[in-house]
Amino acid sequence: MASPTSILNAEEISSLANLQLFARTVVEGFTTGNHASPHKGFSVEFRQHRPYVQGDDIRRLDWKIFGRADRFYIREYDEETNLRATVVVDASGSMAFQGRGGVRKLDYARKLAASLAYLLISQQDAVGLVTFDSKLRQVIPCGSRVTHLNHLLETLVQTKAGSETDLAPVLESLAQRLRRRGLIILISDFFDEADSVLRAIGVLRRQGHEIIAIQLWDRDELDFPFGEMSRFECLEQSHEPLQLDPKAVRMRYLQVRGEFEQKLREGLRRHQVDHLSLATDQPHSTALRQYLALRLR
Amino acid sequence: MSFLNAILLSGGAALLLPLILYLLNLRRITPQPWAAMHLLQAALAKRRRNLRIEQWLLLLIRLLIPLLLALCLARPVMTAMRVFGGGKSSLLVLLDDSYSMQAGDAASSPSQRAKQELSRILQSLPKGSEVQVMRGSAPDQTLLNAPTAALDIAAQALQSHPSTHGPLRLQDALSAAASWIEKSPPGNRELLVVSDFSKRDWGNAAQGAGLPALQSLSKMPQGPQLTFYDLRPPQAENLAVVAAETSAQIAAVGQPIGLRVRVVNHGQRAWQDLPISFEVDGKRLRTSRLSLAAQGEAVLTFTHQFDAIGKHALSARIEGDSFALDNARHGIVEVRKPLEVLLLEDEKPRGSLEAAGDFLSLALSPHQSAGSDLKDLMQVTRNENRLRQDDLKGREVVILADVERLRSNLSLLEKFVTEGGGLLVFVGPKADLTWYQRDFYNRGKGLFPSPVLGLRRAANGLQPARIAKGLLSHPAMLYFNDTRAGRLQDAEFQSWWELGPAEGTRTLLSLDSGTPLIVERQVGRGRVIAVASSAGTAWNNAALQPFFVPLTQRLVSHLSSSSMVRDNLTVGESPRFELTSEEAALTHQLVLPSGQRVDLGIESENQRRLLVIPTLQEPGVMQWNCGNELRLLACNLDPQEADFTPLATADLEALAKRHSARVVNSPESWQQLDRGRRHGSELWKPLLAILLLLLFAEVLLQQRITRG
Repeated sequence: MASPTSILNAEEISSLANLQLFARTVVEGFTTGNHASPHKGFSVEFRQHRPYVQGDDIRRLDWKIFGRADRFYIREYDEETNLRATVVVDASGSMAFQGRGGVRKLDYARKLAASLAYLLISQQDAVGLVTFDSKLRQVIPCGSRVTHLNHLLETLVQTKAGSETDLAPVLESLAQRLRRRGLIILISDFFDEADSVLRAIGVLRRQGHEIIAIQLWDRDELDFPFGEMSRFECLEQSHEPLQLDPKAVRMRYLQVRGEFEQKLREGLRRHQVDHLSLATDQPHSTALRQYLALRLR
Repeated sequence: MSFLNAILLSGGAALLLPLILYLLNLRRITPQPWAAMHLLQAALAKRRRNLRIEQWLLLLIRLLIPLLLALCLARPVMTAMRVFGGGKSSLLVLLDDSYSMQAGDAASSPSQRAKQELSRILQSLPKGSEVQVMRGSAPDQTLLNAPTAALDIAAQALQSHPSTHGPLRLQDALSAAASWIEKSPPGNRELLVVSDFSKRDWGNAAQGAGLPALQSLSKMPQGPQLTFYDLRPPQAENLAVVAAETSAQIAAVGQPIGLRVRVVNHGQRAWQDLPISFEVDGKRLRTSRLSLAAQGEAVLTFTHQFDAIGKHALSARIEGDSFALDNARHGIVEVRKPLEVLLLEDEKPRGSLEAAGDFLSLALSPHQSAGSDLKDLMQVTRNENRLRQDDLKGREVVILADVERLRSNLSLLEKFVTEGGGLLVFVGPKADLTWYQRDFYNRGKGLFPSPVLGLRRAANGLQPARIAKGLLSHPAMLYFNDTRAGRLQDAEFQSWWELGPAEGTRTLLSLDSGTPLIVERQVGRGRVIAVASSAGTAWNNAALQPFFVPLTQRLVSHLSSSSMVRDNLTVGESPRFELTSEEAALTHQLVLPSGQRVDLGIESENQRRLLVIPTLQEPGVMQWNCGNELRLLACNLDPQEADFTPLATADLEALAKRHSARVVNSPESWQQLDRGRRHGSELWKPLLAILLLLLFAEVLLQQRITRG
């Protein structure tokens, strides 16, 4: 298996190390004192019996019950119910936006994804990674080993902002890829047609996936603080540049943005999808805290 | 359209500022990479067209705001209607043509400025305006026979108006102006008061004294617009002889006569060794020198004995002051043979100062009483209450000194007075009030000038009555306006008769209670003067006061003069003298100080023959040729006119404010003011309102654009 040093240049390796360190710092710093240690709770304790069905591993048959009751029962343990989480990171052009006082949304998303992956693997959960723009770009199946984490991080480091956002078809193709039910953590700005996005999310939900939608905003996108005449140039080449007096449209923009977010939130709620709206000037620990709050509900 | 501050129109160029800013903003477009384009497009989708219109509107408003502000500051006035004679007005110019208007250089005196600048003002009036010019020193006279719309004629009349030297008769002039304005056609009435606003004329009004005529004008419906045209000169240096008073109006040959002269320095320069000369009948007799501090005054007395009977002119003249008209002052003295006075009293004279006659005799012939070598004018004959035909022979004045009643023929005394004699009556404790009222007054048909209403006494414990203060105008009383002649108010009156009013009776002095003390009435060709208290010390202490001697002498002198002619006149007045029928039959001619001869006319009024003298314009000694007789008249400037001190600017403005008047000081400022008035308000007010609306609209539009 190729090591990171064979595919990454020095800067990327440095970024990878930084990302790993960042994720560990965030997660461990965050978990210490806030919750019980994520290292506790990994258990091989018996959970329940269930009747044997064809295809079950016969090694898990409880022979003692078979001896007493002459029926085949399968023993199930907690460790077998480990979470399979897929972190889906939007790497479209719009995620390359960086406001005047913040960070690029993609950078924020990468760090957030890394932190979540670290947190999940630390809990012996299996974590996969999907990056996309107008189509799926990287799909890494779930794994729970530490080496898998390195692979995830390498992938995140190499992820660049791509072309246009086309979220709905991406989610639909993702639904075909993810056969096993699990947790999907979708990190995106959701700058797409809300209805189609919600429709695609509905497909995933019907497959039994649990979904957490983390919507990222730059502070400038939230406040629209521009004063001078400006020419707004689209990062995704999907729109013509707009030349306007920002002051003249600010209130209207804020209203439209609020409506957009509200519509998305309402749609996600209908699909029983948790929605986190984060600004990129918020600490990642805040994002993790909100994520855990959602998980504990 | 014209502008009062046209130069401020240049501020309109500030409209370029928002335009430049707009264009600069267009050039300084900042490229802004943006992700949420779909949100931005959604925000723009509804408002793009409206937004463009609103932004153009906002730019337009921002261009208009500095333009309107500049227009407001430039104070535009709509003048288009003037071409059609719109805004024509009735303008009354009240021209102060008093002596003080000639202060300063001849070319730049207020009088000269008034002529030049008023001509420009008149020529700038709209077509159809009517003008009249009223003289401040002679309010009953106007420069034009009737108001005229021929403004060039009015300007010519103004230019040809000669300089005059009379005082400003402010109250009379304003009253006449108010009366004229009431009669003028309603509409745009204007009163322009052109004056040097000297402190002397306007000081009282500036201090808060009322100007009733102006107050009535302000209450008049469609009252006039009042404007003060300020011609105040800078403070001018001026010396003036403000008084030259003779110690007696009538003197005997060889009797010393004093001329008391008062010189005032109205300037800030101190004078040393200023020569002042004393002239008799135009000949300089003596010259003295005096020193005057800044704003100071000095008094000198010259004495002279005349050796010829007749009218003589006395003059005092200073030299060295360039403003010459008020440098001399003149007086007329009549020198005559001794004046025979018959003093009637009830008791035989005892020689001691007890009876009223003792005091009167002493006062009328003090030198004779003192055994002095000096001559007295009056020869007093004292007589017990007895009057015969022979007693009146050669007498000119009869005095009744506390006579109970005339025991002899009253008709003899009546005949004496009717034929030109003088009668002076002093009442007292012995006088029979009933006889005086019934026989002596006789319902106005007798000699006593007033009805007697009763005896009055000062109540116990109360202050005695005193002579009321006030400016005295009777020729016999003028001397006592100066307190150096003795304070009349020092005399205390314990008892007096209360005299009632009567037709033809004139009050010379009153008590502070208001009751007349000395009254006079013409009876036939003679005159009677009655004093309502005693001549001795029985009812008052007047006989012990310094003024008693000159007072009695002046009363007797006045009675001895058969003519009612005043011989000391003031520049600016138009005197009328009542003549006897013999005098009226003669020809009369006046020789003015300049040598010009003026034939005088005679008018009849209520069976009286009045000699009419045209308005006196120049100071000096005039000769009045009355048939073959030569009389002298002295004409002097009003001494108040010599003070050229103007009102302070703040006082003038306060005065104007109190009477809702505006102050201008040049034809340009008048025209600006007049334009504004004629066409209602200037345009800056509505423009300012529009400007405020635009500012309001700008804020609203900006908020609307910002809020989306």
